[in-house]
Amino acid sequence: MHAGAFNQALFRMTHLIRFSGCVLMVTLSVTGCLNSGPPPVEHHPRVVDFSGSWEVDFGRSDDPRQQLLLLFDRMAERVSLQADRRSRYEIRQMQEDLSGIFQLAEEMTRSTAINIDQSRGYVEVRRNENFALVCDFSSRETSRRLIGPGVEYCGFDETGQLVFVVRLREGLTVTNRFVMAHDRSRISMITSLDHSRLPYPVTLRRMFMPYEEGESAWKCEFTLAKKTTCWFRSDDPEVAVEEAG
Amino acid sequence: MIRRLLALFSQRYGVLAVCFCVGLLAGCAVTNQPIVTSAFEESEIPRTTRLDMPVAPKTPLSINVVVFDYDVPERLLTPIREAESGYMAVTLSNILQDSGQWAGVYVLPIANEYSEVQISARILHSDASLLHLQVEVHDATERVWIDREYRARIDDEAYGTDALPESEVFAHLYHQIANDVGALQRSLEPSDRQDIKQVSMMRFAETLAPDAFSGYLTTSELRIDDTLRTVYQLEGLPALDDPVFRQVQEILLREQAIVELINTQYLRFHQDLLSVYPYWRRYLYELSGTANERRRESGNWAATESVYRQYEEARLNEDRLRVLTKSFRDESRSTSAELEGTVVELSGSLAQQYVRWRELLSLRFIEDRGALKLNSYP
Repeated sequence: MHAGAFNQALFRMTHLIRFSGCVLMVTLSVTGCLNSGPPPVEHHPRVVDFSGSWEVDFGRSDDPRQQLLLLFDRMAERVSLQADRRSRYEIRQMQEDLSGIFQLAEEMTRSTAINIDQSRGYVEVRRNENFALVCDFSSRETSRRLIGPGVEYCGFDETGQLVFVVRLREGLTVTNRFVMAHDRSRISMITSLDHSRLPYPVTLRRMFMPYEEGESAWKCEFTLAKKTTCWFRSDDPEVAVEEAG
Repeated sequence: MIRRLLALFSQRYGVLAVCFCVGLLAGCAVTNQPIVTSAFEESEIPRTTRLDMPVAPKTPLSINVVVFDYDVPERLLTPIREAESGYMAVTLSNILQDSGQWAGVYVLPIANEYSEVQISARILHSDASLLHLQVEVHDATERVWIDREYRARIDDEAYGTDALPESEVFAHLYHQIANDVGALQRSLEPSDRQDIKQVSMMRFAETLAPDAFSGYLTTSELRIDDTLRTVYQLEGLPALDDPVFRQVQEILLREQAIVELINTQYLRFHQDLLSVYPYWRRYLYELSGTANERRRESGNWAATESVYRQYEEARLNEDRLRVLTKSFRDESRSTSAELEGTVVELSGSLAQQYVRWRELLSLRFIEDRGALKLNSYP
């Protein structure tokens, strides 16, 4: 019974990945402790300047599909190894969680371009196909926002890298960490999803390289009427296809 | 003293106290005493409060709603508060309009000194389940009609599936304000309303030509609690064929034109926000503990995903609010207005444009008045 459900979950995942057009570099953080949660966010005087426009570095990205499948298999295997210690209901739920969390992870890392505005005490990371990550870290109070029983917080860690964490009800914690290369040639965006019912967090990494506004082949715009529309610069925006809601 | 008694009374007897206040105020109006109410009662407005729509007075006053004030929060929320300040002012203005009690209802970017009746409000607290405002209403004589806090809380029903997504969940709070201010207007004698209109006109005239019109108004100090307020009284009116006064009336008409233009811009902004702000508030409510208690038993992936989707939608709507607020700020930074056959370009915030327009009208008035004097001595 539960094997059937697992196969179904795996099929859904495979199907999802097959049709995913995004290029991701994915790593599974197997070193993470069991549901250890996000690292503490410190307000460190050493902060890195992330401002600018960044787009996905396709050249440095591997094809994620095989990796994602492999990682899913490995994680599913770990879950099934616990079958003797857990009830069938728990195992089925973990498999559902696993499938769901991978799907969310894939969705959360679809952004191909990010634009970062950074000033004293404030950072706004605008991502295409996703909501902006905004941090007012002028004080410890302002960098924390309560969301019902959940909490959102942000700031710079001990190495001066930018971290956003949201802990939501129902056990989901999402961490977005932005790490700048020493020569400012790349930003690595590490998205980590942790669920209280899963043994490991799922961590996905994407590399971004800088570009000057106006250089990118794509131009995206948000309007209420058309929502987000993107088009090739040489094309007429009127014929653009609606990309996202 | 009387106000403290009123407060005590209102705390104990709720609705009866309001009736008592209105009755007393009516008496005050007749005796030409200050029209003052300040309910200290801070109980929450009942959700069942509906908008009263009695027959309007024969010569109703105009009322202006100033864009709501707010304490500047952390930078993250500033655009949201900015959006709310316009959104809430227009919501109140629409409800006042719906009440059918007023000759005109306009939203202003800043207070002006000659509004027949003016509502100013400060957002003390605003989230998905609680709205808390400090409201002050006064007329052109500077007599305070209302100076109190309004607080309303909502429950799951307000965001239920039966509720229209764009409906105003705090409508009962706005209804209460509109009902209170409407009742106070109706409590006035026609002669009191006429006085307010005339004081309004003379205060406008006085700002343009103090030398010519200051004698028509006198002021007296009125102590309200520990605050001294200057109250205006009408001592007389200029002759109807006074050429300078006729010029003032023409200038007032031009001023009204820009007020209407600005009001239209706020209405458009409100219209844009309607497709975002109520949804943002709804998703925040969904994320809050109150609504979540019911779903707590779920505990499966669907529940986890549902919480994430609510969070995602709240954040996406917050992004849109930022975009809309910025675009409203950008789009309204320039206005073309016609002044005596010349197109005048006004720039800056709506408040700056309004001030600039008034300066231009004032200059025009001085020029015209100079010409008038020259014509008088050929």
